Amino acid sequence: MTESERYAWLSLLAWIGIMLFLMTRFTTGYEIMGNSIGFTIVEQSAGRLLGIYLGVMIFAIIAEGIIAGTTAALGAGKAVGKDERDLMISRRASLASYGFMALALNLIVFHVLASATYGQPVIAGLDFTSSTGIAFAILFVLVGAEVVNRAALVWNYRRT
Amino acid sequence: MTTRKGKVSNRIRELRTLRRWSQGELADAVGATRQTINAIEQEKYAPSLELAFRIARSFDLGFEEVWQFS
Repeated sequence: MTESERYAWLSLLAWIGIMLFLMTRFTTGYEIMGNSIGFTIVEQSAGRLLGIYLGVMIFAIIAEGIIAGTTAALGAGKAVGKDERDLMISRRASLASYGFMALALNLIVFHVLASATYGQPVIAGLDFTSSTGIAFAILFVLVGAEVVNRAALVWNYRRT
Repeated sequence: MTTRKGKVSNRIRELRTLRRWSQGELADAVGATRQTINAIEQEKYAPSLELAFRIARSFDLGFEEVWQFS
């Protein structure tokens, strides 16, 4: 396993953890191990929203720093850390990530406009017009894009 | 002008075995990772022209003695 592939696996796990954290803080519907998660957005106070946002960002920066540092240290003795195949896989992952982001943003815009047209959320429970809804939508797209990026890295390392 | 589909194949594993080189040794010689050499040998990954030339040169062979297009 190359340094880049090891990074992809560890980073994928970290971002899935961040996504689960985000979902448990913003949504409700099902109880899993004491945490509520589902398809209904729970309205939060402004202070709590700021706390969740900062928590996600700080955790992501720390986790990525630790993972990048650890994988670089483990691969320090190797003559070649990254080569053209790693770069090709990285480009494919970025493309997948961009595709997810474009699709998700289009669905959110469509949902908001369609909801405004009909006077109620098209998908019950998903209201993206409040502060909580906007914060959740943007964070979901950002974190989701990172999950897709790492998953595409892992997938391409396995099949290429 | 017509375009034809084809497949790039190589003799890297055969040449490497003849010289008793490991994948890691070849990888270090051409500036790639062992995993990339493995992927090229299995024809899962088509390298850049530059890396393909470097691999051929590492065996002291011409390009078409290592790489085939059929």
